[in-house]
Amino acid sequence: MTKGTTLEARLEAVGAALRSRPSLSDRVIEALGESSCQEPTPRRTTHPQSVRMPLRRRSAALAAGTVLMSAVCLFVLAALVPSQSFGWADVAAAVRSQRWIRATVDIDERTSTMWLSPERQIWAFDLGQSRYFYDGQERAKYEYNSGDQQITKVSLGEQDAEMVLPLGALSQDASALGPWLFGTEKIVHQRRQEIVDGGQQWVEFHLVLWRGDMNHATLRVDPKTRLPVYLLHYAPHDTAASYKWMFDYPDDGPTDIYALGVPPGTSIENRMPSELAVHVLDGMAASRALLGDYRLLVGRAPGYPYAVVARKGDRWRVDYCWPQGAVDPLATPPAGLDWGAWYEKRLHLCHQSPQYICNGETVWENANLLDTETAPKWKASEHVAPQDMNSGDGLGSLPAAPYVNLAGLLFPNLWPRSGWEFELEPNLTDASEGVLVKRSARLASAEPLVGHEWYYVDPEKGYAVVRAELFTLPPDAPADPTATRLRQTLRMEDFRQSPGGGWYCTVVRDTRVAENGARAPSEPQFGGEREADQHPDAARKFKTTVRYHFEFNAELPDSIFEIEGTPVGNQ
Amino acid sequence: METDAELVARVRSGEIEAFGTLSRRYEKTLLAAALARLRDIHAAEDAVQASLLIAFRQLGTLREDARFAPWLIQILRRQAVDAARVKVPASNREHDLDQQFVIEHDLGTWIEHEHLLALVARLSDRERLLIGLRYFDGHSMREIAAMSSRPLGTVTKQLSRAIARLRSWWDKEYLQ
Repeated sequence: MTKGTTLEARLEAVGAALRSRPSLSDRVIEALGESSCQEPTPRRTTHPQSVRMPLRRRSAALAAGTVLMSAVCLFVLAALVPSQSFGWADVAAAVRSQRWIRATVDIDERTSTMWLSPERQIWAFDLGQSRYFYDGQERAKYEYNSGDQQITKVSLGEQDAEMVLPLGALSQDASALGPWLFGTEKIVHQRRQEIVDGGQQWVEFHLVLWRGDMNHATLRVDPKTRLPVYLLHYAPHDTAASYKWMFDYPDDGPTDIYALGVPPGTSIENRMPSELAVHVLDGMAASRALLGDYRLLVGRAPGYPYAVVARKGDRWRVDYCWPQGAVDPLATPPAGLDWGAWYEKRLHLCHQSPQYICNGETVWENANLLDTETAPKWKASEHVAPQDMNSGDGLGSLPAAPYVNLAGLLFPNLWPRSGWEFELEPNLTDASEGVLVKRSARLASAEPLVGHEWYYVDPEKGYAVVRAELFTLPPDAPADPTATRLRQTLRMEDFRQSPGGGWYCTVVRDTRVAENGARAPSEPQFGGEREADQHPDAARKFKTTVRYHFEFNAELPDSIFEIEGTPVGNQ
Repeated sequence: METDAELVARVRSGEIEAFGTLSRRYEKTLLAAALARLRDIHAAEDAVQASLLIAFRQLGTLREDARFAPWLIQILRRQAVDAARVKVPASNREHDLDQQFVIEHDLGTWIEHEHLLALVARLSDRERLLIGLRYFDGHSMREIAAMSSRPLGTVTKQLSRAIARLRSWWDKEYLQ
């Protein structure tokens, strides 16, 4: 559409697109007709009961992959869960005394095997079609898929390193890392139980992972040896769907990827990043940890604060703000007030609802977030883990609280990953933009497309990203953000330093551009009229400006990181 | 045209089809609200469908039959929040850009729609409902007045105010 199009016409176009979708009411009536419970409930006099709806559909492939990755990481977890009766140190010591830990599972009539050697810093996994060998001492990982002509060798990323050195990482600060940070998986809730089975006493941990349909698990530990015996991984709503990992502790294990059954002579494609790249990526990870404790107001500009964040060590909370009454959501600060002071002044015009509270071990979610008239209803989050607040996952780590994880935006985890191309350009023409980290990957799209990400990193600001370009192009097109029809630019501005030396910015400008004649690679199913075709000169830009106001000396009493009342679910 | 209250009464007496009429009245208004929050058409449709089913099964909890629409929107909000929480985390995606968004939609139009829906979501419940009924569900002003048992003039004035507010935001924030 063009600038001349009326707002009413725009609304009509949105409506036309919505009305082109299939009728949901018909589906609902059909479902109600098939349901054995056709009658609506009678008029109530008591509080309504909650209704749990099924989770959104997911592809079988994703579910299977998630389950396997969860199990992979739980293998590491299995050796490390603390126990009240024999203590964290005892379990860790028992595991550390083993030369190798091996876990096997039968899935679809095929046995998969994993190994971990804390001493040799090796983690290996034979999944049948895929084989992985992580070498912590070499700081490299080798990956091989059946049918490939070669093995891929890439560097260990931040999370990979935790998989091969879980004991080392945990021994540094077990209480801070808690029982959930292992590899790429996260435990969001656990319950310990002592049981007697077969005349023998066991300790069992009932665990909830942060994602996946099969995100529940029971870990059985032998109290005599302090060693895990098995791990049963299951879906909470389908008890028939389960995997059982059995542990044993052999003297020997694989010392390279060929020992996992990769054909001898298979060549290795070396895709290890340069020393400079490792230096930059290490620097980003280090800077992410430097922000320290803070109170933070996050707001749109113009606008009002939409989130208040508090962080103290491994504890944090997010309060969501809702403007009340006649608040003009687009107002700007009057003369004499900066944005931070303006947001503070406007806080009292907003209703604040606690959204997340993390006590260091569990993230509690307020299920009553939108119901501002009733007290929060807390439940353990199955989708957000304690480390998500300052993770390197960028915008994706707290999807229900956009832009809140600023550390993730400034210092994303860009370590090379399988399936991604990685490149670093150290000498940019414009030296003010530091070095450029580029990565790209094929999109899971019907037509071939490549997603590109360019991060301009400033070494003088703790390797913070000062600009990011995210854009999509056909595979044969030269990578150039200015040439694409799909582009998002993030600019970070007004950098400052926390008392602890951590770098942060106070402004993030998020711009999305749809350039002349923009159209999707396939016919749009949602989009109405494509007036861009009729007005080829119409370029469109949409901007969001987010402002951050940090207080590093704010008083943060411990009580604000504890929920009030009794939580529901997962207990 | 029957009012919402009359239709609710019919549903209470066991007429499922009356619920179909009610849900068709508000379906696209709900879809727009869910889309503004979830930015994913399939997730939004799931949330709307779930909300309608919940509304039917919990109709007994509705205290004022004439307040069906705001009650339904409240249910939708909760569903949308839940849906947002179960969206696949970024680490499960191959790329941070929304692939489905790339595949299915005309990007430029989609961005405009998305921003417009975000602006509509800032309106008060009453104004948002009016905009939705008029433009998304495609009801005439006369129909909206009839279903909500309010004078036509009142509804028209409120809609005009909502449009003016949206236009002001749009011009100020999004036109470059």
